Formats: sequence, structure tokens, C-alpha cells
Amino acid sequence: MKRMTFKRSLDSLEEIFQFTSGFFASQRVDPGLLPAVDLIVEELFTNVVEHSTGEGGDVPIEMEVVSDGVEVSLTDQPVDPFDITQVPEVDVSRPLEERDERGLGLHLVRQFADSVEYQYEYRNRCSRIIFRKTGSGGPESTEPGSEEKRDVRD
Amino acid sequence: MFEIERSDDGAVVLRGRLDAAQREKAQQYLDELDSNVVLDCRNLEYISSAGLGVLLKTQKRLMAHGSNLRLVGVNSHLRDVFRYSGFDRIFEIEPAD
Repeated sequence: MKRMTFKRSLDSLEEIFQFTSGFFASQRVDPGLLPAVDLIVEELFTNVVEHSTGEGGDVPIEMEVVSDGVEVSLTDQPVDPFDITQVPEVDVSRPLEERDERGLGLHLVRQFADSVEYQYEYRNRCSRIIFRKTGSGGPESTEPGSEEKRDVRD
Repeated sequence: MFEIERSDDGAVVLRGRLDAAQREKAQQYLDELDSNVVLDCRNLEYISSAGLGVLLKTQKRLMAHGSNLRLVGVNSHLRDVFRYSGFDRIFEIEPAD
């Protein structure tokens, strides 16, 4: 498992992409999965930055190899609970004039991730999002688009 | 790294990664366009929802005046992003060879 922390700023994205690509290279993860992993990480990190209340510090990102892919987590603290797996789906079939220019990020996370899990620890006001991305058919993979939720209450 | 510029044939060429940190740069450039535009995506490696928002806003503005954006040279990852976002319904998209 590898872990790095990043400043709560969009300027960190370049450094985050260096971290993900470095992890893929050093762990010999299928490079075909990297664009999707970068996209998911960016959407989750951007969400953290844009909804920040100014309280939070740096944002840790952890990456771990699993069978046929990777598992990645982002931690945000201190924050109120916001379960991204409960955000309503976006209707992408609407015509252009009815489409919103924002709000596609979590939709793309759901589309590209094998699974997304949300954890919240009330004692430390700590939010953690874990996703998994694998090649199709791996023994560790779950049904594409499936979501899990686990609240860690003290 | 992200670059946007006009080519000699009039297309707007996108290069690199259009992520949330590059949104304003892309939007400022595309806001200056006021006619049919071909976006050359052959060297666009990556796009996130921030980049999609830029394209959507530009397409809305252009279509209100009878023009549009056409995306050419789109790689397979970008095609997946566009398809999952429903952009294949609102943009003319030509894949890379």
C-alpha cells in the first residue's frame, strides 16, 4: 500500500496524477486502467476541494494493489457526513438545453468504478471514500457500478 | 499539461489533459469562438467532468446562434467518457483512426 497527502487545491492534480502513474508503473498494474483511475480520483478530490469549509487539512490518498487492479481511498477530515453513494443519478439523456454544465463528476465515478464505498467516522468527523477498479472478470472484481455504504458509528 | 490553439486549417487543437485545473484556460479560449468549430482531439489524452462542462457550455452558446462544436480524433477513453455522459447525443463525434 502507498500513501501520499496532497494540499486541498486543484493545483495538486498534477502531483496526484504523478502519484497514480508512479504507483501503476512500480506495481506493474495494467496501464489500461490508469485513465479511469485518474478520472475517478480527480472527481473525488475535486469534490473534496470544492465543498471544503476551510477546516480541513491535506488530503491523504492511499493506493493498494488488488487482484487484477487497484483499490484507492481518499480521506477528508474534519467534515460533516456526505454519502456520495446516495446522490441521485443524473439523467444524461436530456437534451442539450436542459443539461447542467456541472454535476457529472459523481455520475462518471459510478460509471467507471467497479465499486464505491463510503465510510464516516463520527468521533473524528472523518469521511473516507474507497473505490476499486479492476480489469473485467477478475476474482476480486464486483459488479460494475455497485455501491456499498458503511457508517462507522462510535 | 494542457494546450489549446488554432491550427492552420482553422481547427481548434487540444493537447494534453483537460482537467479541473485547466478548466478556466479552456473556457476562456472557447468563449471567443462564434462560429462552427472543429475541435481536434487527436492529442487530447484525458478529460474529466470539468472539461465536459466547458464543452457543454460552449455547445449551448454556439447552438443558440446556429453554430456548433464538432469533435474529431477522439480516442477510446474519451469516447467512453462522452458515451457515459450522454455527449454522443449532443455532439458530433468522430473517433480517432
